[in-house]
Amino acid sequence: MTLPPIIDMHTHIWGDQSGLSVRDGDIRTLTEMADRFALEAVVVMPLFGGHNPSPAEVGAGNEVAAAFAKRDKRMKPMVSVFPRHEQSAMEQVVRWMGEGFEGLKIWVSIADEPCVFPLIERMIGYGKPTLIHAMHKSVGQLPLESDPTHIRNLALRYPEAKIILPHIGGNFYYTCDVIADVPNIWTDPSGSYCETGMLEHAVKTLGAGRIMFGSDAPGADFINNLAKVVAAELSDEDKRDILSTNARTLWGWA
Amino acid sequence: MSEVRTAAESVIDCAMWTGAYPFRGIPTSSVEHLRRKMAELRIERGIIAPFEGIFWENGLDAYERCAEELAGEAALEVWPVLRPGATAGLQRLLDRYRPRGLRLLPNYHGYRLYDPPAAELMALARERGMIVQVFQRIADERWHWMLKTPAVDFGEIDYATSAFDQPMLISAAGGIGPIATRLRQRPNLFADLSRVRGPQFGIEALVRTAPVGQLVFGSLWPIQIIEASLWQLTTARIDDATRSAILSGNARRMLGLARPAENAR
Repeated sequence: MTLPPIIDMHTHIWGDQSGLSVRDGDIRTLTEMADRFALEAVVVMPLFGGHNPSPAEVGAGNEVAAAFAKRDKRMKPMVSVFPRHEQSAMEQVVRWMGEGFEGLKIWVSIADEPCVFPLIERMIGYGKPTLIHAMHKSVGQLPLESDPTHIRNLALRYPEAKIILPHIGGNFYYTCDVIADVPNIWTDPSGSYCETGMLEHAVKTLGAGRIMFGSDAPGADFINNLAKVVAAELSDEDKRDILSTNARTLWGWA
Repeated sequence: MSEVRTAAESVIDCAMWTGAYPFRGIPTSSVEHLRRKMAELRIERGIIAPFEGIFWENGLDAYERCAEELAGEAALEVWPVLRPGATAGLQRLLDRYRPRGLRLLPNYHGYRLYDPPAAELMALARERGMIVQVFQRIADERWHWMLKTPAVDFGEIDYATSAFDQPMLISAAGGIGPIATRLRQRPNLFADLSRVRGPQFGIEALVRTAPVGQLVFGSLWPIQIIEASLWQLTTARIDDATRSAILSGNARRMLGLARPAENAR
């Protein structure tokens, strides 16, 4: 199979046990992945310090992402912050967006808490997207983990904001219902859940234009995730939009 | 542009299901869909069981219907799902259809692999020379509001693979790592790759560390996409002999099947 141009808009570099350095192998793996599959661009989000990172861990992750992107122009870094750090979170956004980062990443946080609002207001000014982790679970919801309804509330409050809800929220039927009528929410099917019918349902409910391809590598496998799109019963045009066109348009890389 | 290899010469899928999955409507889960998919992806044989065998009170009736429907269709091998206390009529079914294996899903049926009733099922399998396939998890329990069925605890898998010595096939929830040691100890223990979905280039790392002669292909179709599991193997930078063994050769040996050329004679 000849792969079309692909933008992987959901990858990570993880912190190691110290919380302040990158996990061994992550940068090498993402580089090899981009080489092997001739990727046009790779959106990289640092995750240092686990679910409750310190400001120092957040800062260290962003530093590593910046250095990685400086060496490899295919890598498009997103600023990671923990919104409850409030002032230092804003300082991270201002610093790194000023240095050319491509968007904001918020991991396990309640998306419609007031501490998130100034960050989103700032991102609207940059015209770049904010990706906020959210899942709808019947068991195992993490403390402070957003449900798709929290993302919906935030996106309705800020219709000019570009919000990405990744992993199609875990439960894709629920998530598509929750975000269907909110046009400033995009989604991606990244992660380790390769359920049949997921992409077909998302396209039917949201339209192909609000779905982008992401792998969640290096924790998840690129090809495993690519199969969700390529093997789906969708038109070639929809697949092309999902694999690259939508991300190119959303980020303004056209 | 990049070229990746997605075609396989021959595949045996050891972890398929069919029928109506009760927690999600899957429009492509019929045997007819399965036949088409197998032809498209060159899957020469699929080991399947009906979902109803897990969820019906009369699960053996579901097995009988499916086995009867597919009797004589060598490409689809139907194995019964067994649970303790629901074995009335089982001997007759085993005599009639002679499945090479049986499936256990202890977490769906409320028992532990170290409970005495599990030992009875193992004894039955040993007596019949059947492979015991244990599914640690078939679906993510976090999505449906009624499916609060966690994966089988690895301690149970570890117990079963040490206490029982007949051929076993484990569909491991968390990849192959946790059972790699036991695989090295037991040549008649196999593991399928249906839940291996990372890390990046994970298949290449796996073949460097696990006993590759005991790894078999599985997709968990129709809950999961076959290509998601299959293409990880076809695109992996591993030698062709290893790829071929995982995709079909090891399963052929596990099942006691002749090679395709011998079948044709």
